[in-house]
Amino acid sequence: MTSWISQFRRGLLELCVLNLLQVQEGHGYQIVQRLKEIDGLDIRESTVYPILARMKTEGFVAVRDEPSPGGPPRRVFRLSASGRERMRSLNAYWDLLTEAVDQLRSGRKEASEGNLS
Amino acid sequence: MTKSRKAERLIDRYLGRVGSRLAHLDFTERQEVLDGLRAHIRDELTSRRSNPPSVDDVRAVLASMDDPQSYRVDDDIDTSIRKGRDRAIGRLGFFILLGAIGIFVLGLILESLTNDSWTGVGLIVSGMLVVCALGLGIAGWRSPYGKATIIGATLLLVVGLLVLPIGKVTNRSSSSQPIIHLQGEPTDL
Repeated sequence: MTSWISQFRRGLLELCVLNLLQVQEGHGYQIVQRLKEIDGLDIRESTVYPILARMKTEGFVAVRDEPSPGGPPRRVFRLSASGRERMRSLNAYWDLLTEAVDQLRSGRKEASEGNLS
Repeated sequence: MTKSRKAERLIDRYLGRVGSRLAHLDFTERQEVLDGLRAHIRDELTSRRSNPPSVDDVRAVLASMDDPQSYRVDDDIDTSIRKGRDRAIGRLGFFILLGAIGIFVLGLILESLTNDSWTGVGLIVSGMLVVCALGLGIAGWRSPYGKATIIGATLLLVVGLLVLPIGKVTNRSSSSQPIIHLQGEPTDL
């Protein structure tokens, strides 16, 4: 995959994970299942777990162990204070970006409609 | 949930292959990913209601998951690893080059002190080291150390190759001068 798409998707995935955890804490499997439901992102465990590990290292998520029947304890991820701050910044940037792109796209649409008429 | 030993081995092998793809991460982060994946496999087996899970269940779960090859080293990480490697190789070449110069100078000093032929030994050893440094410099040419090593080693080799024959001719002519003189005497006569 082209590098910029991979970088873009990684940033987008971080945004999705942060917003997901803001609503509800969850363990890795739950996070992967919920993100898999988003069409177009093509999210798999090979992208989610490295991002969760990185976000934990950077302090954006906190982890607690939850007892699990018949196995080692589950690791439950929740958003930390700095993660919340990070999410706010990313959301603001996302809004700015989508607004600008929407304006460009609507301008192009109007221009093409003007050419047709 | 109790898995058979073979099922455990399959999971361990899968995680081992993933782990080898994540060698660029530090130990804690890599372990975090692997722990998460182990829990993921367990949860996937639970969701399939395979209790206790058979080897085939584990195989099916692993087949449904991403191939370990897809845990690809990111492009930016790849670049930083390559840069680091180039810098390390270039630096090694640079220090070997400095060592070669040092050995040659040491040979000169020892020869002047002991009157033994240390310069020749120093020249051979430093020559080999310069060639070695040049190879390393070429391997790490992207780094500043690599470039400096290539320039330095090439200069030394060129100068060495030019100076060495001149030195030999000078030595030969200076040592053969009396013979020429002696040989010349009869003709003068």
